[in-house]
Amino acid sequence: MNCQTHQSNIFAYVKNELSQAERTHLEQHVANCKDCAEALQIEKAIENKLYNLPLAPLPDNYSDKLSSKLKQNNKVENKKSAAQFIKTHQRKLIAIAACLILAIALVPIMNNIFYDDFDMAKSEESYGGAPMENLAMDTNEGAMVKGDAMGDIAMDVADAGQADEQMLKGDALQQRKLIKRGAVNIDAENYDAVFDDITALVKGVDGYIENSNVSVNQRLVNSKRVDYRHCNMALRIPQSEFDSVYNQLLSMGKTKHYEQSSEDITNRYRDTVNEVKNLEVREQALRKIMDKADSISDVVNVERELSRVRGEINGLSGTLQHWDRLVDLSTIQVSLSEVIDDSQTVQPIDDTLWSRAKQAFIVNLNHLIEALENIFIGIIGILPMLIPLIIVITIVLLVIKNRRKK
Amino acid sequence: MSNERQLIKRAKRGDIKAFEALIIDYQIYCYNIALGMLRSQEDAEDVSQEALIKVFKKLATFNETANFSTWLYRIVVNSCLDYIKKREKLRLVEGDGEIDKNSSSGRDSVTDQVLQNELSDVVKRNLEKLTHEQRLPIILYDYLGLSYDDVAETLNIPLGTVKSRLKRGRDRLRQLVAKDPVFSYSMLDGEEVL
Repeated sequence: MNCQTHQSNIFAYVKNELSQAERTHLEQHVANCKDCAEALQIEKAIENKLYNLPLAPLPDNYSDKLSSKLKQNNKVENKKSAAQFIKTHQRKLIAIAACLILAIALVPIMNNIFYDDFDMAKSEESYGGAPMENLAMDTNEGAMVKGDAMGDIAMDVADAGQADEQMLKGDALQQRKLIKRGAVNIDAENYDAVFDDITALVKGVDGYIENSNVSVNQRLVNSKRVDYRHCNMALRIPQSEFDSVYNQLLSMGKTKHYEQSSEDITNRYRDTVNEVKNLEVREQALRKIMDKADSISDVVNVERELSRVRGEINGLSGTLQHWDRLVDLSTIQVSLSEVIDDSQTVQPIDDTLWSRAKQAFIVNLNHLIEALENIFIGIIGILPMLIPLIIVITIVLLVIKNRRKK
Repeated sequence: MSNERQLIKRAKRGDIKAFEALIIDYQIYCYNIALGMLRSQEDAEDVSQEALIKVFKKLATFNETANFSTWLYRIVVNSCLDYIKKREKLRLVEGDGEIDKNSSSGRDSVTDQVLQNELSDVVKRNLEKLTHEQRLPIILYDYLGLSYDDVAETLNIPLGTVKSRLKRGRDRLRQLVAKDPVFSYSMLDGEEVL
């Protein structure tokens, strides 16, 4: 064993970590080797010194300074904690926010995808099953018009007797032919009562409701949804009763708008009557010619002319009859609106408050559950896309992190 | 020991007084570790205090079944290493002139070396010439009297590595002391022989 090996054992010797044989071996060598003896001496001295070196005393006010630093740090820490939290968990927070945004964005999309068919079925059902909900209810002539009017229209004007009757009316055309029209807009709080009154009034004067159109709408009054109805109707009233009916209508409710007009058709009526008379004279002449006709071609020509004249007479007679109806039965357009008193008054607490609150709670809870379900479905749904995306993002982040470390 | 556990629990909840009571006995060791590594009293004071504040902040993450002292020393050692890294970076940026200034600053200036010819000063001075790897086990094991296991835990290295580093360090220290111009064998005369 050379000195180098012995010297490398000196440390272990001083630390008392050599076996007995090694110790004796080293001691024997040191007795004969000056260098190694000196090395051992130095090592022992160092060991002694290190062991006995006094600890450097703490600088003055070390504890006080530390204490004030700790307190200061604590204050700053408390202030910073929120910001720190955001900073340290920035990525997580961003990820959570992104997920939420994604989920929120996905909900409507998922709704569209998954519930389109369902919604359509539901809406169809609601339209078919509940026709009373917010709809325009058309009660056209068929329902409300009394039979006599339709009967008049279908009257056979080709009848000769009817034509004679028309002539008589024409003769009696001393009085003026006036078509009277009126329009009344009524706002009524008691819609049903006013509607009944109008119906009774019309019946009382032997008039009829030519058509009526009711629509039901909804609006918010004092944060409640309220149905209100609107009715347009055309009343046909005998001309003699027009003024009294018109005035009664005005007194039925708050009238926002009313107007009446009359159209004098006396001259046009007379001209038409005369024209019919001329045509009839001509028709009679043609019939006489027809009787005298010899050849077939003459018969055919006269026949053609006769049918043209007859057609004209029929057309004009129809116009006269129409005028007669307009003159006999004046038209009043009634627009009846249901109004709701929505003046802001202090409302007493509704007895149903608690049940309504409960209902609202349940509804919203259901919405929440539905939204969560949709989010869950959405997340599961986009997993096939999300998993590769997450893997890619993770790899990118790891690469960035590694580069930063370097 | 049970008292220490209680203090740790209270300090974990943010009780500064409990924390101060907890570290009162460790402060001097922390300071001496820092001083051994950084050589400058000012730096040692600042860095050891910063390390202790870090300990307070990180206390919530401390596993109570682990050894508190080694955990504490590890934070001090790491803080010192971080500080040294920063200082070296700064030196590189500021230029070579800074090296001389730094090496001459601290408690052991050149004039001190001339005046203090005691063996203990020779040992201390040469101890500072070792690398961190060699010096740290000597500071912790020989100087502060930690066990091999605690040194291994503090430095987070295997026990065998601690022993080999310690041996290399001590061998190197012995050679440095022997070659030190101030050292003479007459210094050993008064020394107690083991």
